[in-house]
Amino acid sequence: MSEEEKFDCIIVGAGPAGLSAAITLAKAGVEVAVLERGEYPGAKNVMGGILFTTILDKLLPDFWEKAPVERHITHRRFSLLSKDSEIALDFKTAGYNEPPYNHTWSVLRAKFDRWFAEQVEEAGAMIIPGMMVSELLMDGDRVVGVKTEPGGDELNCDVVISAEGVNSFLAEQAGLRKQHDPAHMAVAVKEVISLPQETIEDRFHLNDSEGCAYEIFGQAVQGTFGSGFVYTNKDSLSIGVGSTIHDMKRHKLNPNDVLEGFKKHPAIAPLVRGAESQEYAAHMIPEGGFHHLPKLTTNGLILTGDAAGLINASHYHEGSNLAMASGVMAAETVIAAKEKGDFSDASLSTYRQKLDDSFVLKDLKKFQNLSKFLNENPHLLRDYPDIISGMLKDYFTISEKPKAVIEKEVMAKFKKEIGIWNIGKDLYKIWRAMR
Amino acid sequence: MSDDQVVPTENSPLKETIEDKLFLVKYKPDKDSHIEVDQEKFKADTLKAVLFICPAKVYELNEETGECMVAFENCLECGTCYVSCPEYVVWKYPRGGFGVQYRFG
Repeated sequence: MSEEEKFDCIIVGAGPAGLSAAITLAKAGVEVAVLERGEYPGAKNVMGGILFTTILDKLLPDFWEKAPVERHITHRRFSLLSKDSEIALDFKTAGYNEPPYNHTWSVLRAKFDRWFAEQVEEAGAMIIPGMMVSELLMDGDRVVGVKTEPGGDELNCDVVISAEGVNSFLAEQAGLRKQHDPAHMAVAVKEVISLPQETIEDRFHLNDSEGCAYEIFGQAVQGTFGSGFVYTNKDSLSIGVGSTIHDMKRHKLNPNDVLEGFKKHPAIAPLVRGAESQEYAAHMIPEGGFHHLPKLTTNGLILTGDAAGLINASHYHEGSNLAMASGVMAAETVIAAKEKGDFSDASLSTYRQKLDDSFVLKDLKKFQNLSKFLNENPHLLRDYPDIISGMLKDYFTISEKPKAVIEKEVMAKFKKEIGIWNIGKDLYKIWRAMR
Repeated sequence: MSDDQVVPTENSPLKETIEDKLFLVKYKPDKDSHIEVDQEKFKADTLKAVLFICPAKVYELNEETGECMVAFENCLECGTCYVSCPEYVVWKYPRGGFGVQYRFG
């Protein structure tokens, strides 16, 4: 490419957001290059391991026939751990065993993203791995390209889509976000541990390619504001924990110590017994939600995915499909801007409108107060698991006491430790925050 | 009993320490560090959260000098260090193609 030539669009990062944008642009005939700092797409990409695929299925219909996905999820489980007990809500259905498999899959991102990138290249986008974007090139207040390392090459374009992930240094350079806030940023660590396929299916009660997703709160993360997870892959488990950096710092915790505490909990230890560690990973999750979104566009620049803070950090733990949705919408915005020949902030700001009108920001808005609420009421995740499991333990303890007396004692304990008024208040507040 | 049956051993293949876990991670180390620490501001900080919060234990206190030593080649590239200690940790991505290379992610 000569110096006068330039791309229509440069995408920074070959993750779900960047690749979804790239395939949408390539299909529309827009000249697009994806710059990826990893040696291959996926080399730097980490998530817990559940991918919701409503968007992917539109981009690559029936992807599951070829893509390196692990298991389709038929079994969801949410539980609270106290020090020695577990209280769970457990749901499984064979009703998710037909295409499109409830759009819920366990994946290993290094494998999946690499495959996704190949499909995007086949659609006509150029993907350049091993290239890190160190800064945006500016002409006044307009983004006109990027500078890359190693080499210091400068590449010009009409518009940059930042899909660079959670660290989002380019958004910071463009003045779209402030310094990251430790209260709104979680650190998660994860291990991939291998087990024979048959052991996984026996241990987790799975038929064939079914999979399960366990989300675990309370003592899973030592009562901090976060959670643990166990997801089944074909012949491995993804197991991990995450909490806000603010809480980790306040309690002087190391994320790996929290993970080890989780693995050794009596409710979790039997799930991982005999497994072999394959890989250890760490990643941040932007959990600020609707209230703390950055500005999403400026002249010549659009933010997508984690770089835009698009995470639904409620019990849904959704991120990668919001990233894909935002990538598609950023691409549609660029296509419209190209037709108008206008890449100004005003022209690109239709992107925000698209997000507002879609499930992406509607969902973030729905849960906008949840994170603030849980931060302000740490006793819910810290104290309630112990109190509730203590009550259940008393209730189920077999003795020769008449059951009526046991019930009375449990109620008395409940009134003393929580109180009818307080639980009513907390339940009301939870309902309000989730509404 | 068949030969390929998994035999439980005392030495569990399930790793516990960060050191053992980092052995499993593939890296392509660069020669220069992508992390800088302002040593004076580090010394002035009482909590020194970076010493305990890093998932890869990249940061270690040199007891003699009071300075922060940085094993940048172990970095898992999460960014927790500069978010928790923005006053003295300057963290950037390693150059393209270098650093951690996840096989599973």
